[in-house]
Amino acid sequence: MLKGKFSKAAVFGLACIAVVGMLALSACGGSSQSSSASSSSAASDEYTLVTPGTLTVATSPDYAPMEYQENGEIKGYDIALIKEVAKHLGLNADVQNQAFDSLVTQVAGGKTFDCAISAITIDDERAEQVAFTDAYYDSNLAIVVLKGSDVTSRDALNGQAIGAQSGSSGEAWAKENLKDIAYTPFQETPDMLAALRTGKIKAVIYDEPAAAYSIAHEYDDCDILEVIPTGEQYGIIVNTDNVALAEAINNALAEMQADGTIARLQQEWFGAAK
Amino acid sequence: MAAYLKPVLKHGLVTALALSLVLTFISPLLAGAMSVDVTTAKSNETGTGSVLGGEPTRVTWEALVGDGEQVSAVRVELPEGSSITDDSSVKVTVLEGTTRLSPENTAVMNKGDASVDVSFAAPLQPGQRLRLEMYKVSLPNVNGEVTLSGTYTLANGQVLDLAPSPAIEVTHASTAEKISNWLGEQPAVQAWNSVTFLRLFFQPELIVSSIPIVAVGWLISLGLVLVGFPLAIPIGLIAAFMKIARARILHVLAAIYTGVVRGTPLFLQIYIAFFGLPLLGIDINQYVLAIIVLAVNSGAYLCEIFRAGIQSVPNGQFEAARSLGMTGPQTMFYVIIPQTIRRVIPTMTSEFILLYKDTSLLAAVGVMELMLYSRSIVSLTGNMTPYIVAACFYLIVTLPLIRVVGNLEKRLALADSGGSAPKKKGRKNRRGAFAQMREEIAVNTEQAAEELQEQVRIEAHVDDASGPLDMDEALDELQDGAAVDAQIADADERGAQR
Repeated sequence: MLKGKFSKAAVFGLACIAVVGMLALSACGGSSQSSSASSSSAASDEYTLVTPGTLTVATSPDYAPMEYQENGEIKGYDIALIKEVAKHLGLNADVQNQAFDSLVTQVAGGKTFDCAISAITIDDERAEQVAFTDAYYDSNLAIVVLKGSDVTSRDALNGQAIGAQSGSSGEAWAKENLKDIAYTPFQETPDMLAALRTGKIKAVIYDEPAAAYSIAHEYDDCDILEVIPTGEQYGIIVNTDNVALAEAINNALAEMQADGTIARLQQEWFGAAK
Repeated sequence: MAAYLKPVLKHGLVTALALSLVLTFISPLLAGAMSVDVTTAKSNETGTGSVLGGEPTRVTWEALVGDGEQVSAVRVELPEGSSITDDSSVKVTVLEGTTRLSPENTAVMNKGDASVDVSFAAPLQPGQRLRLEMYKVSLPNVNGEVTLSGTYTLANGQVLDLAPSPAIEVTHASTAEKISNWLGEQPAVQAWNSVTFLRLFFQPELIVSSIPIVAVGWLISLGLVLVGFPLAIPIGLIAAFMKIARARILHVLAAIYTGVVRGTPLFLQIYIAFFGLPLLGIDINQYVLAIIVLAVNSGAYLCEIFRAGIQSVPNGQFEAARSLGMTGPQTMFYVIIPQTIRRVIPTMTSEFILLYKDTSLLAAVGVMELMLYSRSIVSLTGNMTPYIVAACFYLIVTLPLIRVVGNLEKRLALADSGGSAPKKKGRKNRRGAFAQMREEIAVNTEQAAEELQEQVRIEAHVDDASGPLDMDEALDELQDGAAVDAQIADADERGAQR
């Protein structure tokens, strides 16, 4: 019988190919649509939004004071900033919780979020996947250890167990600058600091503003061993097909700088304008 | 050597010594020289920390302006064999302490001699730090250390050499990395990658380069569950016996154990074990701790599976076996357990599958397993493809097992409904083995019963009239193996609970 010649496996294989093919076709269709849309929008210099009238923003709220959750509400300097930006653009801001290491991918996908603000360091490699707005904050990295730790210098970190947030510039620095370390990535900073407290890791590396804040608040048993001057800057990321949105945000940031909104927000969140 | 040269030589030596002494003395004064204190390259090999020669990487170079110097321009030369392409870029950062400055500057990348020229409108002041990040530049394809050299220009026009930089360790590319790079140059692959969805989830280069890395994580995950699950079996068995034991205290203890473990998410149990125990001074290797947590968690579920399996054997069989004079443990090991094993094997396999998938939760506390290995590449590349590779690694274990569970369940249903297995080519052997197992159990039970029957007749002064009749009834029930699988099904449902 003819039917008998097709084994189950072959049928399954064909089905798989069919499904993947369909996915590929639909993806092709989708991308050609969006690219045509973006080219037309580029001509009229208008940005596109995932949900009309709303700026859908992704953030990883585990980085106080930049972004954090309090009683289920996402707060922080970044959040206050993006809400002001949305106000300047005449939009509502819808801020949603996402893992830090998925922010770039989500925005690059372009279907779920308009932009992400999450103390994201401007970096040419990230810039290949997404477009950055102008820098809105200067930062450095900090090495954080437990108070009374036997690790007392940057060189003493070599060969130790070190942690950082997955996908962060701290992770990149640790991997690049320290030798023979046992490196552990963490999805969220509280987990990373909990591991530091257990002694499983000897030091964690993350952004200096967040480090200073955590030590001043919950983590007074930790200390900054050293600030690493990297001079990195935070930017907001948008999809590369939606550069008009980045320009609109840049204009809003410039206006906010001029009318004193940024100084007010910095005063509010950091106690001093930077 | 001519004798007259000797004094000269001696003199020379003394002069040299004196000179070097003077130099050593003066060098702190010369410390004004611009010092290069950082040169690093970002790893460009997927998942490892190595820097591959001949492949694009990001080189970071930092120097501190020396005392009394004003630097108006810097030229950094990459080692011979390096390359700068049209894709390359350079980011200039100037810092004073930890404060970022933004002096006006121009940076030029020279493709010809692989160097970077940076000049400043206003010269850099002493103590300021210049940081250059050179993106998409390739270091020479060698195995060993390379250093960057260069010159800098003072405000007065004087050009000085930069001291050699700290070394960067460079290695040759691995096979997977070479295939991956070759793939990236293929037009078909580039066309495929032009579709956002395919590039982000099915990037061919990344599939190739992440397989060897993710495979390591797969072995670790598999190892964790292959050690953890067998440990969970005795835990589950003991708890199951405790649950059906008459002693109330044992029952309560087992109920607390299974209640707490089954009533809380494994994720939470992992957090408590990993962050709580070390604070109590219990310091265990994280892989050992991971195995313990998995075993304790799975033990609770297995306990319920075993208990349900044992209790699914009709009560009549306990009574029959006991009336035959079997002791409690004998009843357990010769009558009940053999039937239980057959019934719980499909559910146990499902539990194994669940536990294997649950190893991914360990990623949250930094146990390097399948999920974390793939995530480390995702975070490095901003691309989801390694997650797809990870999914495949989960599937190569779970799919065959799911099939096995399906087959076992079908057989069990057939055996319980008393129907003979439909004959199918190529499956005879496995089905045969199963029927054989069933027969053996029946034969063993029958033999045991007969032997005991004999003994009972002789020793226990059984009433001649009623004795044999009861025995026959009991034996019927023993061999029946009636289907009471409701409890097993109940245990099955917990898959959905997690």
